[in-house]
Amino acid sequence: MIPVIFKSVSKYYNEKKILDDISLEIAENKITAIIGRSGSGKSTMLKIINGLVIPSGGDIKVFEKKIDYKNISELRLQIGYSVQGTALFPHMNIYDNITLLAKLNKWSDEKIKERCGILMSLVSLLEDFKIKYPFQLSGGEQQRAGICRAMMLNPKIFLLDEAFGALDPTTKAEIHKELLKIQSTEPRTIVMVTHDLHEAFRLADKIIVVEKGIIQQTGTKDEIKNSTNEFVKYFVKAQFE
Amino acid sequence: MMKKILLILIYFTTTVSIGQTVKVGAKHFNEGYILSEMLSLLLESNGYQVERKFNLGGTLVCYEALINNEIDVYPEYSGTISEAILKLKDKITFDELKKKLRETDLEISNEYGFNNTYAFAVKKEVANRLNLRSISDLKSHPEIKLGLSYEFLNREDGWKNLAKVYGLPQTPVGLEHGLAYKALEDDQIGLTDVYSTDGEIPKYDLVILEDDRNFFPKYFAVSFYKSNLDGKIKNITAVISGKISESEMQKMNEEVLYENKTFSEVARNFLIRENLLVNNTGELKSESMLSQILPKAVQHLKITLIALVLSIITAVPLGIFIYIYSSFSKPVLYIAGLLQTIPSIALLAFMIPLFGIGIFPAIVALFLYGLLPILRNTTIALFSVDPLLKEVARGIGLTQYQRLRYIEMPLAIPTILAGIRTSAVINIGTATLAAFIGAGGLGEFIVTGLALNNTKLILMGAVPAALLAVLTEIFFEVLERFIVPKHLLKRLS
Repeated sequence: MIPVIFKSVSKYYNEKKILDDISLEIAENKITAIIGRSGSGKSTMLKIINGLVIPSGGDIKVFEKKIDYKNISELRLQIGYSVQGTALFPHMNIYDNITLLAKLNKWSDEKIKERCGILMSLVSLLEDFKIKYPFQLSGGEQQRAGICRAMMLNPKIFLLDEAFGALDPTTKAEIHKELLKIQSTEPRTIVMVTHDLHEAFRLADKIIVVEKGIIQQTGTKDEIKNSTNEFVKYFVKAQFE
Repeated sequence: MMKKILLILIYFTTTVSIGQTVKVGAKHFNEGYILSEMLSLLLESNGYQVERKFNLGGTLVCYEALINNEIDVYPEYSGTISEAILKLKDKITFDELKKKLRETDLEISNEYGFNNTYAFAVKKEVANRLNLRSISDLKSHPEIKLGLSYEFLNREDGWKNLAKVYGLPQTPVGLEHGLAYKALEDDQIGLTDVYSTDGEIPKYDLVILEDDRNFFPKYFAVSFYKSNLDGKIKNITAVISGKISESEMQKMNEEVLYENKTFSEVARNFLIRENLLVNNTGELKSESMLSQILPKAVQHLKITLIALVLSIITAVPLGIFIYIYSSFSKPVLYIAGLLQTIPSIALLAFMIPLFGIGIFPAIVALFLYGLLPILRNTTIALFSVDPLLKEVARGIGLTQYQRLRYIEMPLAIPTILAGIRTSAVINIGTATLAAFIGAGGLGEFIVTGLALNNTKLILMGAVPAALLAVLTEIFFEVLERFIVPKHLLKRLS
């Protein structure tokens, strides 16, 4: 199965073109990184997958079906979503943040506890963090809790929108390791948006470079490194010098 | 056998008359209170229950209350009825007035005896210095500052026509009648309108200017009621007709004002003196200040609380509605804002033709008043929840209801609570004005105190009301601590 298919997708805000004729397929159970500068349209591509953004033209298929925007919540429950910053709900403690979706979907307490425990240990979050509030956690800890929340329902797709953008390099490297560990334990389709080429090289099986709403190149780490595309060459050079 | 039937009949008729409640109104000043208390005592001594609705304000409020059966009877003045109520242009005699009323469903009793006419009073010293004897003499003294009651300024038989008839050049200022004597004494005004039976006239050493053009109609005090009032009640109250002279009335007014007697004491003493009480069993109650304040404070809280709860259960859902359907937000907030700009006393007055007097219209007015702060805070709070959180809540698959229930509302609660708190405090203040339309509460002391120029009474209402407002603030502060997680409170402040 190909979990996500874009076919000539475009997006306009008023007259402004954000995405232009995007066609791509996301491989199942692989990590795909969408990379580009701020304003390149990479976040918009991600939000099209979970229906936060409705495309102006073209076709988008998720799980080989057209998105049903009327019952979008059902689809989103199968897609984990984690963003940069403190997007944890400030009025709930960490346990409630992580388990909210499971509770609302009537999981048993036991099952919830078990799943939460597994996830927290996968991202090295201590047990006593459960009763803490987001503001009591460091940025890295918050990001780990955010990953647990997104993974709670064991979604088939996991979307990360600059999820590690605000972290210091050491913490970032730790979380990268943990993410790869999760991926080897329970493989799933991961699509991550980032502006950090190092991160993409470290994690992604496949990299999509976007500039001005157009896909410049799709390829593996080596293909991107040795690209002949003018923009990609410039982009790689700028980050590695 | 006959005896038995008779006994049953007697039993039946007495229980009927005992069970019957008569609602007695009062005009909003000393004399009105004394006379209304007399009617009430007479009715009570004849076995009736009396509901005293004494804080009705001026003529039109009393009249509206009578028309809407909020009260059954109140003491009024013949001149007021012909000019302010029937709006007759020409002066008519007392008998003509009675005849005129026969065309309506209203009726008056025979006059109590005295004529309490409007009059102009100045200090004796000023009158002598400027050689003022009659109202005409004012023409040559345009420098005299007139401080007139609001009612007198606006009546048919008040300032406008009087100024025309006498050709007076002064521009008067309006002030509360109860404050006018103090203003006269301190020379802040040179002249005010008084009632000829006011107890202050001798006390402040005032003289009354002669109405040399015979402008003022006669103001004979009478009982005013609908013609379908029970004949028995008419007869019971009629016993004071012809019994009260002008000097007696002045004396009674003076007793209340300067001898520290309550108006019910003065009214009772008069009736006892005149031997008019059928059975004088009821003892005069002397209550401690706390036992007087407490029931009014409870009533005050009750009115405020009911209105507040209604405001909350209306404004919070409405706020959520206009958050979801945001195209409604402007018109709804605009209307709620408009309600807020109506002065509270005007909003209360506006309730009378719609809902009469008493608790209900007061609650409606307070409810309308309390809407905006809660409504505005609810919508603003919901609109200003961090957009990233809203997007994530959508992105992870929460439905609109779930987002509202688990994310947006909990985050909006501190701000909504602040709105409710504002409403509560505003309402406690505004509820003091509700006494003007007979809703009771702590405002009753203030209204009575203003009418009687009694500072102690005013404070008996004002201090507990202020205290209630402070307690409300504290209550909400504690409530906030319970409901809102600490770190969210910190973020707010």
